[in-house]
Amino acid sequence: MDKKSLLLTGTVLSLSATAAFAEGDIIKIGALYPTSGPCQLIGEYSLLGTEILAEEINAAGGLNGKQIEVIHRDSKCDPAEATAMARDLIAREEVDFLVGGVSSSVGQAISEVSRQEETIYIAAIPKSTQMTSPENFHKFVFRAAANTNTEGKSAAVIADQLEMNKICTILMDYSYGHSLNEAFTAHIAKIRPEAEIVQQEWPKNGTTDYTAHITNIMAAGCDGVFSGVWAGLFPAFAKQAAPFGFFNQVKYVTAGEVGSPEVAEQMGADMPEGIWANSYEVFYHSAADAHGEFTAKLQEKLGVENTPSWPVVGYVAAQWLTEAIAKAGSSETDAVIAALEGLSIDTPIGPQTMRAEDHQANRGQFWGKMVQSADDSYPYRRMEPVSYVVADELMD
Amino acid sequence: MFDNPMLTFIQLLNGLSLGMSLFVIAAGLTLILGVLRVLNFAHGAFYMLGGYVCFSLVKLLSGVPGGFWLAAIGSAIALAGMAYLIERTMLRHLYERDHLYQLLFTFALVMIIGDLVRFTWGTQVLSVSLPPGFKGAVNLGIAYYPSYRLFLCLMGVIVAVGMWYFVNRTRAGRFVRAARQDREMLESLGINVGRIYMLTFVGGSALAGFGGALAAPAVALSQGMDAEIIVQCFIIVIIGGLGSLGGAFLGALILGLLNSFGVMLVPNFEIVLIYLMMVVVLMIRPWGLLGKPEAQ
Amino acid sequence: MITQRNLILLGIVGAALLALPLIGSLFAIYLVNEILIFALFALSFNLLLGYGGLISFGHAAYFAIGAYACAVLLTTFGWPFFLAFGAAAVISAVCAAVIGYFCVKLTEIYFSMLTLAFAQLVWAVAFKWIAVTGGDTGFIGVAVPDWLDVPVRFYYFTIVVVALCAWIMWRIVNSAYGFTLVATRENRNRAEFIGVDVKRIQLVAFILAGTFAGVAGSLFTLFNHSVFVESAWWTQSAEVMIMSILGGVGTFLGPALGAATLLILDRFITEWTVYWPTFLAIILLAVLFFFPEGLMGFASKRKKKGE
Repeated sequence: MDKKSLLLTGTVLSLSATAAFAEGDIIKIGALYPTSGPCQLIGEYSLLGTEILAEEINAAGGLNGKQIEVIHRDSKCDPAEATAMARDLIAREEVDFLVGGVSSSVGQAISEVSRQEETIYIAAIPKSTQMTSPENFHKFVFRAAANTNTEGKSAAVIADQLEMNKICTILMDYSYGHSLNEAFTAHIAKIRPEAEIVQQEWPKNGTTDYTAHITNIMAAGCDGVFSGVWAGLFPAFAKQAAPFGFFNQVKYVTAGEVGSPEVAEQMGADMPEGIWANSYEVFYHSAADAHGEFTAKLQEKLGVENTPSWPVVGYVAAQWLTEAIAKAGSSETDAVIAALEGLSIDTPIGPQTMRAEDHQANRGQFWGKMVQSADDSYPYRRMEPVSYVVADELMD
Repeated sequence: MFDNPMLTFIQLLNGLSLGMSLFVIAAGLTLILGVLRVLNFAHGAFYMLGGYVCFSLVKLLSGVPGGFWLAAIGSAIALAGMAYLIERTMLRHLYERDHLYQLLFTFALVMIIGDLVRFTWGTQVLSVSLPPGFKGAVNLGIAYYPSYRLFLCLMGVIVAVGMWYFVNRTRAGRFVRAARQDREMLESLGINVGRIYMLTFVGGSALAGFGGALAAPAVALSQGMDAEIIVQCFIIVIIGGLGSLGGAFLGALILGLLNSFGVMLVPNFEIVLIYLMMVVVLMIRPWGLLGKPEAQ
Repeated sequence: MITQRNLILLGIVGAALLALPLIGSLFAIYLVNEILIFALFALSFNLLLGYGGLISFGHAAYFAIGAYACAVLLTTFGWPFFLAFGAAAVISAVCAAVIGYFCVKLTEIYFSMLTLAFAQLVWAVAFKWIAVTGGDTGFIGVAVPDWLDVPVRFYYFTIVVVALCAWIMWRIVNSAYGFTLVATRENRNRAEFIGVDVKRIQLVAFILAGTFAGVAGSLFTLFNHSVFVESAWWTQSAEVMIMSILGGVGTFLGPALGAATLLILDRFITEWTVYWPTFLAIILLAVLFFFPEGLMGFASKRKKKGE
C-alpha cells in the first residue's frame, strides 16, 4: 500500500467513526423489497410507501427525537438472496428493524434471519399461514398483511352473498393456493352448508395457459368460481377465459388483488365486467381524512391521478414499527415487541390492531364488484360499491 | 374423462393451439441448435422482446386496419434485425470456441435483454388485446371455440409447412440441411458457411419474435416470461430431437396435449411428469423421437 | 503447479481468512462464509467442467439434495450433527451415482441436456414433496446444534470443511486418476484406444463433484438455517457455471475466485443500481472476449509475462 492510499484509508476510518458517533440519533429500518425480477413492481411501490412514512415522521421532528433512516436492499424475490440481504442489513448497516417481503418463501427466509438475529421483522405482503404456524412462529415476527385465512374466508362470505351453490375453485398449485383453499372450503361449509364444491383446478407453477382448466370448470356445471389466480397472472387468464364465454356463465370471486386500480387500468376493456375482486387499497373509496391525504401525497409523488394500491402496504407495515417505537418510548427490541402486541393504530385505510397471541394484524381488504366506471376521468372498471371486509371475525 | 366427447374435443383443441404456438418458438430454437450447435438460452428473451415490441407497435398502429398483424410482422422484423447485429458483432466470433463460451454468451444476452425490457417498458404486467375479429368464438358444430386459438393452430401449421418447404425444397434450405450435417464438407465446397449461420440465427430469432407477438394477445407480458418459455422450448426440442423440425412439431404437440389432458389425468403430478418424460426420452433415445443418432 | 510463490500466496490467503474475525465485522464474516461455501460448490463443479470437460447443466441438483438431506435429517429426524452432515454427503453421492450412471452414457449437448432434465426433476420433486421439503415456502428452522450456532464458530467450521474438501479435490486431480480424467477430456478416442474406461472415469468424476456439491449445500443449509426450492432451479446451475468461467476453469482455484467475485459484485452492485444484470453481463462478455481463461488465467498469464 502506498502512502496516498494509506492516507485515504485513514480519512475513511475517521469518517466512519464520526458516523458511528451520530448513529445513536438515528433509527434504522431495513427494507427488503424486490426491485428487480418478477415482483419488482410490487416491491418498488411498497418501498415508496415506507419511504413516504419516514419522510413524514422526519419532517415532523422524528421519532422519540430521532430521525428515521430507511435502508433498502433488493430481495430479488428469491429467498436465498433475501436471507443474505437481511443479514447484510443487520450486520453491515446495523439496522434495528426489518420490514418487507413479497412472496411467502421470502417472508419465511427473512423470518428465519429475524429469529437468529433477534431482530423484529414486519412482514408486509407475505400471506401464507405457514409463516405463523406454531412450528415457525417466533416472537420477532409480525405480519401486517392479511393472511390467507382472512382472504379465503372473505371470499367465502362473498360467495355466500352471491348465493353460489355449486362451486368450482381454481387456485395456484403452491402454498398460496393451498392455504386459500383450506380457508375458503372450511368457511363456506360453515356459513353456507348447502353449497358444494364440485370441481377443483390447480394450475401449476409457471403456467401461462389456463384453457384446460377453464374448459374443465365450464364442463363441471358450477354456478360460481372461487379463484386464486392473482393479479400478476390474471390478465392472461382473463384473456383466455373471456372468448369461451366463461365470465357470462359463472359468478367469479377472486383473491389476489385483482381489483387493484393499477390492474384494472392496465387491463382496460380486458378486465371482465361483474367479477368480484379484492385489493389492499382503492384510491377512489374515500377522499376523506387520512386516506385522502395519503392519496394526495401519492398523486404528487408519482405525478399520476389514479394511484396504485401497493404504496399503502409498505406505509402501513412500517407504521406498525414507528407507532410501536413511539409507544414504547424506545427502540429496544423487547420494548418494541411488547408495544406491538395488542397495538392499535390509525392507518390511511382505517384502524388496525396487532393481535398479541400470533402477531397477526387484523388487516382486512377491500372487496367489490368490478364494473365499468361511469366517470369519464376514470374510464376503467372499478369496484362498485367498495366494501371493506373486516378481518376480526374471520381470523382464527 | 372420455365420457364427455365435447369436453375431450375442446381439450384437444386447447392442447393443439397451445402446442402450435409453442412450436413457432421452438422451431426457431431447434433450427439454431441444429445448424449452429448453439444452445441459445436467449431464445426465450427474444420471444419476450417480440411480445413487448408487438405491444408498442399495436399502440402505435391503433386505428390502422390490421394493426395487430402489422405489429406481429414488425416484431419479427425487429428481432431479425437485432439478431443480425448480435450475430455480426459478437456471436460469429464464438463459433470456433468451446460450446461453453457460446452458452455463457447467451446467458449474458438473457440478462441484457431482461434489463432492456425493464428499462423500456417498465415492470407492469402489460396486456395486448385480442385483435379485432378474433375476440369471440367460432361455432364448430358441436361446440364454440375461441377464434384466436383456432388461428394459432392454423399459424403453427403454416409455419411448419413453410419451414418444411424452405428446408427441403429450396436451394438455401439445402445448404442449411448440409450445414446441419457436415459443416467442413460445405466449407470445402466453397460455400460461405458463415452466411448460412447468420441467416439461420436471424431466421430463428425472427420466429421467436413472431412467436412472442402471436402469444401477446393470448398471455400477458411480464418479466420472467422468458424463463418460463425457454424451459418449455428445451423440453420440446429434446423430446423431438435436437435440430429436427418435425421433432419440434411433434414435441410441441405432445407438450400441448399433455397440458390439456394431463390436468385431467394426473392433476397433481403433471409438473413432475413433464421432466420425467424429458429424462426418459434422453435415456432411451437421446437423439429424440424424430432426430437421427449422430455418429460420435 | 505448486510453486513456492503459489504456496506463499495460499498461505497469505489462508492466514487472512483465519484472522478475519479479528477485525470484528459480522458483515465480513457472513460474506466470506458465504463465499467459502460457494467456492466449494464451484470447485466441485470444476471437477466436471475444467478437468473432465463435462458441461453439466444440473449441478444445482446435488447442492439442493445435500441441503435438503442435511435439513431433514437434523431437524425432522433429529439425527446427531456429524451423522446428519456425513449422511447428507453420502446421499448426494448416491444420487449423483444414479443420475451420473445415465448421464455419462451421453456426450456433449446430450450430456448437458440430460443433467438439466434430471436437475429439473429434482426441483419438481422438491417442489411437490411438501411433507418433507416444505414445498415452495421452504424448510426453515433447521436445528443447528448450539455449539455451532455462533457466526464465528460456524465460520471456522466452514473453513475447516472447505479446506479439507479442497485438499481432497486437489489430491484427486493430481493423482493418476486425475490425469486420466484430463486425458479423457483432451481426447476421448485416444483415451479409449489405450484402454481407459472413459465412462467409468467420468462417472467417478460425476459422483465426486456431486458429493462435494452436496457438502456445500449442507453448509449453506446450516449457514442460513433454511433451504428453499430455488436452490435446485436451473438458474442456480447457471450461476455456478458463471462463477467457474469467470474465475477460470483452467486452474484449480479459479472457480473459487469466480465465486468470490460474483458474490462481492452482487452484494455491492445491487446497492446502487437495479440494472445489475447488465453489469454482470458486461463483465461476462469482457471475460468471454478478452480474458477467455478467466480472472485466474489472466492473472497467471500476466505474472508469467512479468517473470
